[in-house]
Amino acid sequence: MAKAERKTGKSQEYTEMDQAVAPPPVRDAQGLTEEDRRRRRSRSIALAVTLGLLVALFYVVTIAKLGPGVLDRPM
Amino acid sequence: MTGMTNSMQTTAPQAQGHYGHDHFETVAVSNGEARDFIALLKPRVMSLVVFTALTGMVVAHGTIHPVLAFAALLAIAVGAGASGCLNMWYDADIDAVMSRTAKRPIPAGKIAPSEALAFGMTLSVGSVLFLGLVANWLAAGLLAFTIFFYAVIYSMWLKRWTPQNIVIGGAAGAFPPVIGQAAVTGSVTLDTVILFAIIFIWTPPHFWALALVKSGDYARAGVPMLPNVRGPDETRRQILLYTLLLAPVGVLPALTGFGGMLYLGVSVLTGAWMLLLALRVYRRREGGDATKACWSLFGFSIVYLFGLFAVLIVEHGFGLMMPVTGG
Repeated sequence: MAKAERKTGKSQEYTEMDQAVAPPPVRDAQGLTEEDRRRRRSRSIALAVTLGLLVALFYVVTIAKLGPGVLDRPM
Repeated sequence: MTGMTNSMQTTAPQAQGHYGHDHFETVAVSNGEARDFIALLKPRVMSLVVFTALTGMVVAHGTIHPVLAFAALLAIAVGAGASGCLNMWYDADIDAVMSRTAKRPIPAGKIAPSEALAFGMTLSVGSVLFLGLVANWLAAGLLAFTIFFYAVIYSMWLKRWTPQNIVIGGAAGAFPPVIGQAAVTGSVTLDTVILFAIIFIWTPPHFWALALVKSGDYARAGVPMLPNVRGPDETRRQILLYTLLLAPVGVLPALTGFGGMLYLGVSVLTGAWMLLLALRVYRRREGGDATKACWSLFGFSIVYLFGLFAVLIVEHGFGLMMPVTGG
């Protein structure tokens, strides 16, 4: 038997047939595959980080534009 | 988002089950990752824009709070990225047939054209508004014009219409130092107009050296680059002429006083080397030597521009300025 057949019990021809009729990817209730969900997660994380950095930047820029006296307020 | 039909759509199985046939509502699902959106911004071009804008800020006769300088540079970089994104959106059809650009996110199917358009427009408007609030509205106006020039004038009009496309369109890449100075001082002076001129005159030999090597790609895409329209010999002649003009213009900052002795030395030496490489491109017209000469000029042209602007930053930013004309 060929090495592939000894390992899997399948002929090479059978393996190629497997690939030709590979089962469709598993989709969740929204129609997303695991790969879709992974990509959406990476986009969401990138967006969250960007928004957070923007908030910080807006804050720092506002302080800089208001000048050094902005933190010195009479109570 | 229903009724859209593109290759990136997936079909909700519950909808299939509900309607019981193939004609059901489909859901458009974005396929892009964060790095694909970053690729839309042409990061290498952004880095050059940041560098030249920073030079404009450093040579400006004025001061700016470091935080505001950083924020202004970020806005300029994002604006440049936005114009690159809009360019990729518009050029997706020709990018798909060129080997150099076929793997870009839109022709590769990772990002839908509509996503890229929305992304580019959002960043364009956001960066201009942000620069206006952080610095001033002259800088913001110049940034807005630059984005418009690159996305509309160059990408949508000139690029597919005339072999002088990158000559005129090169102005878009020359604006960043002007925007940088405007962000600091609220005005534009001769210093940054000279920097504008250096980049403007540098652009044709830089891109035509590449176009000589990639003329097949551009021909397939139907882009009227000079080698395809007027032939490689005429292109070589123009490269030489522009480089003959570039070398003395590159020395101008030293002669007008905002570049010092270090700048004078670097600009003369690198300008001479650019001329030598342009002469090689002009003389070597066949075979591997011709291709090698083109790649050498293309590669060194990047070093040339970075070198000139880096020296200006060093002289002005680190107090190493030694005036050429006594004083």
